[in-house]
Amino acid sequence: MSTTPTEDAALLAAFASAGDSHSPKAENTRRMAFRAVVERYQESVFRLSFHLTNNAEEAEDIAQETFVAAYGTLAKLRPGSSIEAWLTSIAVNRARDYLKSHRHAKTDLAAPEDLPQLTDGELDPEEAASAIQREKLLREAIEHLPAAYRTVIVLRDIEDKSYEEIRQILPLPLTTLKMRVIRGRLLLRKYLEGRL
Amino acid sequence: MRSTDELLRKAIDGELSPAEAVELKGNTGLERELGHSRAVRAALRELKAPRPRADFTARVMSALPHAQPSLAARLWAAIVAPRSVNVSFGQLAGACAGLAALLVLVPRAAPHRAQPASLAAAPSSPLATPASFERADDLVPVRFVVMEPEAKDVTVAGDFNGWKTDSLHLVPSDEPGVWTVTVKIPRGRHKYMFVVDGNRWETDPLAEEHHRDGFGHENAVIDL
Repeated sequence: MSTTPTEDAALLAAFASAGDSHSPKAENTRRMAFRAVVERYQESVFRLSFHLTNNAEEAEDIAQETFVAAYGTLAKLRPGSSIEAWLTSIAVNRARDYLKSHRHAKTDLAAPEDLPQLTDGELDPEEAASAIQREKLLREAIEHLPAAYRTVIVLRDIEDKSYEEIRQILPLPLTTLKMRVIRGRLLLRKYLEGRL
Repeated sequence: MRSTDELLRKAIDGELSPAEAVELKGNTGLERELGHSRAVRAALRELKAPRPRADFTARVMSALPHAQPSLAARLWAAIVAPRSVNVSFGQLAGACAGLAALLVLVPRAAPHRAQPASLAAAPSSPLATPASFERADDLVPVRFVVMEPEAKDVTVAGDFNGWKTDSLHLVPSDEPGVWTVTVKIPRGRHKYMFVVDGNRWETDPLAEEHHRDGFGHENAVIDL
């Protein structure tokens, strides 16, 4: 994870300092602490949602719903817990619901303007076009993965999380998790064979 | 699933033992598969995502649910809510006459300005005024309200009454557990706290602002 436990502990302590009170002061304290949580983790939650859905608009909705849901239960998070892992698990569940409801619909690939500026740097136009094509192909391949494999591939191979970190997000036995990674990678490789 | 798939996974994840590395090295087909898998993973690692929009935090914050206000907060809102009062000309004239009579009579009955102790003696007075306030137009009526269901006595102590703990007594209101008093205090910024049963200091949870007093308490702050 990208943050140290101390940073998370400080954010949790700030949020918990408001206690259970509904007074305006306590509410204000909670909101101030939560704003720091949103500012710190919005990029990682949004990025994960985007990789899972391949749709910037849906990703933003999922990220927003994730934080709103988190606000109601942040006080219950045990001291020492990773806020990022907890937010990620909420976002994964939200994205899974989204993927289920879009199971039969072909998801549109991200519009070119939504994609990162691959033409930045020293790429010439031909290389840039090739990079964009490769990125489209990769996203298409991820999109063809069943949701269970897509989630683990995004977490392991795109987000580069360790198996232990993934198990904080997805409560799976280690062998099941590794099995899904193997199958997900196999499916990806088959889809991309001769195209990448 | 083939038995070699776990070997490939370990190779990609950097978990190969030396013996497994040797086994993999001798297998040309597996090495080719590994090269392809590594290329796919490297490409996946380079995938980027757009950033959330600049107003993302603001939109999340505005979508957060608001806490249900406490009974005390709702009472306070009810107390300070503006109400219209219909007064007839006759009633107004009567009130003016009464006020004029008071102005004539009061100086004779109380030639000196009331001291804080007299406020304690008349807690039901609708408008108690702390001592040493000379100009009436600089005074602002303030109603203090606090919820203390178990209290026998509640006072308010602040810089406007020299932090005396027994000068401004709140009185029980019609609402069980709710204590209130209205006092006139000078315009400006004041710090205060409630004193419950003579020894327990409590801040005003409804105050818009609080300041630490350096003794483990938080003074409530009011701007008039």
